[in-house]
Amino acid sequence: MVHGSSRVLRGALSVCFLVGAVSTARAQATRTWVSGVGDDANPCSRTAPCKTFAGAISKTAPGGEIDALDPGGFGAVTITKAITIDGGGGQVASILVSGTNGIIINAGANDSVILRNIRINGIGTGINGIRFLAGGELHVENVTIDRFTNNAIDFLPGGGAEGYITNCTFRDNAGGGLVVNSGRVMVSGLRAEANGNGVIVNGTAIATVRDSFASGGGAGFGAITAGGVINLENSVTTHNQFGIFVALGSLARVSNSMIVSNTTEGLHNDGSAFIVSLQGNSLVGNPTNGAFTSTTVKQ
Amino acid sequence: MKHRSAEASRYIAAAAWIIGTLATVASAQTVPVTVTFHAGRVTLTATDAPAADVLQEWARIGKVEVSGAEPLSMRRVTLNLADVEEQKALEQIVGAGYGFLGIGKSDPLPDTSHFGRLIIVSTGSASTAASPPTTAGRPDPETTYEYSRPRNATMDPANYGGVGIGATTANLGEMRTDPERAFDYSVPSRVREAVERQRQEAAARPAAAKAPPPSTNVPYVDPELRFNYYRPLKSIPPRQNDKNDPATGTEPPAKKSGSNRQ
Repeated sequence: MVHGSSRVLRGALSVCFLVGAVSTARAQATRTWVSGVGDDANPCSRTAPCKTFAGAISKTAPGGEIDALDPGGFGAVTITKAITIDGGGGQVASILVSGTNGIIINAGANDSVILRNIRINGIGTGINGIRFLAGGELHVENVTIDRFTNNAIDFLPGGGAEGYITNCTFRDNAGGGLVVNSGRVMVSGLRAEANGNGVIVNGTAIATVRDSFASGGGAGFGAITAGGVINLENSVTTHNQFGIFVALGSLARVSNSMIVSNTTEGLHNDGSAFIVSLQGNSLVGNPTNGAFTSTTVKQ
Repeated sequence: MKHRSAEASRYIAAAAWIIGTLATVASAQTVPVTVTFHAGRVTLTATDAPAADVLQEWARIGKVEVSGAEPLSMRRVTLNLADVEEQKALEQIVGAGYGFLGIGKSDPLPDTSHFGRLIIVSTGSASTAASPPTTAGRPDPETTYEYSRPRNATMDPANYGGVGIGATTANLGEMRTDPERAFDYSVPSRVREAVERQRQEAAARPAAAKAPPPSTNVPYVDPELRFNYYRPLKSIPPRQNDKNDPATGTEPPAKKSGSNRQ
């Protein structure tokens, strides 16, 4: 009798497990929604949206997308799979964090993460706006990151991950705007305003920056590690302490850019690094302009 | 026997106390630097200590990688800072002639510096010597800026050679070359020193190497100097006898503002 009831119990448990698994699979939609008036208990559908990105992400399939239905603050989130988070154009999809990171990405080696149309505000106590620890690609488009104690974007993935930062604004982040510790990052249309530094390569990594400006920081653009490379095209570095800062065997290549009106030096080189002009630069109006180590003629 | 043993233990206790006191005093003398961090701010005391030692202690307590601090071993500092921003404290430690570049930590630990790396750099004579000369012994205009005052507050022609509203041909002859000269910003001491150094270097150059003095007949005028940034051009009354006035059709000399392209 006892033996029989145990078999029944085991069968019932199996059925429950299967039902649970099926319902979980069903909850992983390719597109989910968040709303300022949503609830994370909802299925994150358009008609029953979730309240936070963190609540929605578990209900979104890998490679899927979380969209914001209306303006709101949708909270910090940790991303562990390929996903797109889109705050929507023309409205405020915000992440307001205190004492922590805004978005942490710790995804698979081939996962592509896209963050679009979001404002991330550290209100003076948040640590990093976006912290990219692992993943294949990080795309950040039309994102504004303000007032973090460390960096707007801290890019430190293992392997050969790539970052694409497009049309973003980083403001008043005490540590720095973009810090590239590893991998490769392409930056286009960045406004780095009054951060600790603008874009710094702080490791064996490459950052290529174009159509951007950095102002009001320690260094506008720089590389400070042997094997670190920063390429700069059609950009402006001004009102920083150092326009371009290279040290410890790193390399900067600069073309068609303005290094003007910085407060200490236009080009700073500790003597062990290289700043190569690819021509077309304006280096003027700095108390000490500094010098390019060489010029490569355009071809 | 018992009495003698008690006396011996009293001597031992006294000796231990003296040794302890001496050790405390000695350690206080050998470690004249204390640094503590809390919530992005620092409390620091240093008494006649080499700045390099202060930075070494900063690196140890703050878990920071500091490089380039060796030249600061000759600089001695006495500081007593309580709960100040790290950047302000570092500026006081490195002093004039040096600067630093700080990189924020990726993952800050509690009660440590929020910098992960600090690179100390010379911003004084060494860097200046490595720089190419600018235009013929003339310091760049920004070296004379004072950044503290709003721009509008200085729109007095007397401050900038008479260019702008009400300028005359006579004072155009004394005109400096860039409109930014009119701005009144606060000049950091190291900038003032750099300007003075450039002036001295220019004066020390052989006469043949010096640039010819600017002609008073045809002064160089940046095209922007003709602009009026505070009201539309239309509202400027035409200047009589002004050779550089666009209304008379005379162009300024041919020097281009973008001549320092490299």
